[in-house]
Amino acid sequence: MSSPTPTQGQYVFLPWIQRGLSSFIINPNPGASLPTRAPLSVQLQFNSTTAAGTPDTASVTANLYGPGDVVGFSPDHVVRTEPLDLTTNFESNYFAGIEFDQPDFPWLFTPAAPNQDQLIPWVSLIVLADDGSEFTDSKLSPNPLPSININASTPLQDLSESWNWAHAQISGPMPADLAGELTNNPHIAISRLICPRLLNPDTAYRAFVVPTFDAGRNAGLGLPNTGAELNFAWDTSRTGTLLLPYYYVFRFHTSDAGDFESLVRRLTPIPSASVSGVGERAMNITNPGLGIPENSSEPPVQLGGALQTTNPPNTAWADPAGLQNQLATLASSSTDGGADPNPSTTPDPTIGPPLYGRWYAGVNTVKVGDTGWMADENLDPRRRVASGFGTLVILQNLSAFLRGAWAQFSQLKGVNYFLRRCQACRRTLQGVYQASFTVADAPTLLAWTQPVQARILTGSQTVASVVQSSTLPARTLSAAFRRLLRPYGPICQRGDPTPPYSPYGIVPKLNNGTIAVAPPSGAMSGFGAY
Amino acid sequence: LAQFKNMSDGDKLAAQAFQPFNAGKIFGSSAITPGTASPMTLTYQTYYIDDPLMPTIRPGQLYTPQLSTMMSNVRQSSAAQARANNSGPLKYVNPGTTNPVALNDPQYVVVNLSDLSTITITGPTSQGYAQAALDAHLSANPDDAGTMAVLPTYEAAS
Repeated sequence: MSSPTPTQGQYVFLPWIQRGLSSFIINPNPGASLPTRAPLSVQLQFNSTTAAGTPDTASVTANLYGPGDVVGFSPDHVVRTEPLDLTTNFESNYFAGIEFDQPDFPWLFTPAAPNQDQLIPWVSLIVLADDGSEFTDSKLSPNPLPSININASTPLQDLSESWNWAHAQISGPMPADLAGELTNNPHIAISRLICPRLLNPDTAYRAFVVPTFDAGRNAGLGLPNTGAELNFAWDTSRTGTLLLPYYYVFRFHTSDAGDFESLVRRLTPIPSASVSGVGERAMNITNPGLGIPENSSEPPVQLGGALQTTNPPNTAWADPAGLQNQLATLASSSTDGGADPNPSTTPDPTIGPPLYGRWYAGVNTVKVGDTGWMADENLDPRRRVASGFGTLVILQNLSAFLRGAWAQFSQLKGVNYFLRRCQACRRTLQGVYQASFTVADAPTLLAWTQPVQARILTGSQTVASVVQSSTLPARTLSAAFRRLLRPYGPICQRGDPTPPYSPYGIVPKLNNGTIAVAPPSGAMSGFGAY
Repeated sequence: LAQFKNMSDGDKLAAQAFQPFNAGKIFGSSAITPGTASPMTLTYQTYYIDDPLMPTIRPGQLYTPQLSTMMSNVRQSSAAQARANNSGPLKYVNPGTTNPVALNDPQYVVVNLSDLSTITITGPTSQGYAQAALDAHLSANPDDAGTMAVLPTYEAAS
């Protein structure tokens, strides 16, 4: 029985997600040694068959990319760090974490199948005190990744338990079609790495995303990967300095004491009635301009803002002076002069205040009392302010918006190029058609078009089929016969050159039986030879 | 390893100068395999900052947003603003949408030359595969020679 769809907001946490061919990896981990790359046996079946009648096949072992093939990732995949980079007062009783936009990111290059709900991520998050006591920046140039030297005494988490510290999160209920939901709404799923280190108060830290496996460490340091088996990048019993590359880094400082709750408790509430102007701004509309008469008695309207109190002020506006009627008249009177062949007699175009949303809504006028958003948007001075700001944003980013819109038709250029070539071909062929085909008589056309008659329908049959079912001998339209009747061939040169001369005048005569093809010379059937 | 085909002079004249053939094979999977799901209802705890001089306000119940409210907020989340999905051309494209304009290779079928009706020897495919299917058919049915041809789907009778 399927569970009902919840109506309350919920998160779904997943211990791992594998996508694509990674779903077909068979070696489980933890629990088995790992290759540096996950092998997949791929079988290709051909259309041909063997002597026994079975399809020909070929098998090949394909290796998926492993952690040793990765030398970095785009920081664009990081959607959030906890805390934010350069935070100065992170609560020390929280764990640091990092979130990625791809829900399968932590297991993307893990060459292993999950062991129940345990799957080692190919990256881990470590947090180290940034006071020189736990690590130093490596003096090596990034090759290709920057690196750090971690002191021997610095505690690092046990990587054999690193599956505990990575998970995926889905906002909302678990989709029945997870693949389809992630395609259409990728923002509902993220993945997260957590560093299981208890932080000290008032301490500077640096958090690093580092490789979990030694193959990733070697790749990040520019060292060759020679081993066939995958090992962890460090173990808890290490005794020496550890040189470790990192993919991503962020810094923060823990607060001396307390967390968000303690800071909130230090705030002093103030009744909204005791402060004025929060969430609103008075706007003077006594002189709107645009030819509207000035009205010094018009009270200011209250322009709302993004910040609102729990007891927002009453911002109703009665429009005592009928400003909306005048705005409606002005905004609806704008005309584009159109084609103006005679400027002396055509009135000049009228330019009024913009009618916001006119192109989207498809209307050119608005009046007081209209229902819908157009009247609200255009006849309330406060809403016109917001619309004006929106227009500015559009104008400032016009090129980027247009570029983005055209980018959605990225193949349009190729399509248009192909279309132009086809148009050029069509135009050329039209010239040939006009010069040769339109002046030719029907028998000549029938002969000329023989090569394509099997591809042209006349009714439900092709022309070739109609010719074949007629009394016209098939060889009348053959290539050899056409060669005989070519304009400068031996027969035409002996014919009457007076126009209209058609060498194919023989075709209708053959068709209606006026003339007949002579039978092959030789012995006739039924007669003896002499 | 290459494969060659013997062609008569007529075949060479009738064949197109260039034909696209598959070079290599791409394979993949759209499968997604998740671990065991652990749902958790989202709740917010409300604290009242008491005024020391006023009577204490009792904490209210946990606030649980409606699913629709939560999903609306998720559309503004950091994941929805991820630069990998919101930079460059992707900034203006809804996820899951495909390019509305595409230039695809023509597909070919085997047709009957008397009425251009499609013969189901093979489905719409590349010219090379359609010709190979027709050749295989004609070798098994030599009486059909001259009555069938490979044509683009747009030339076949619908």
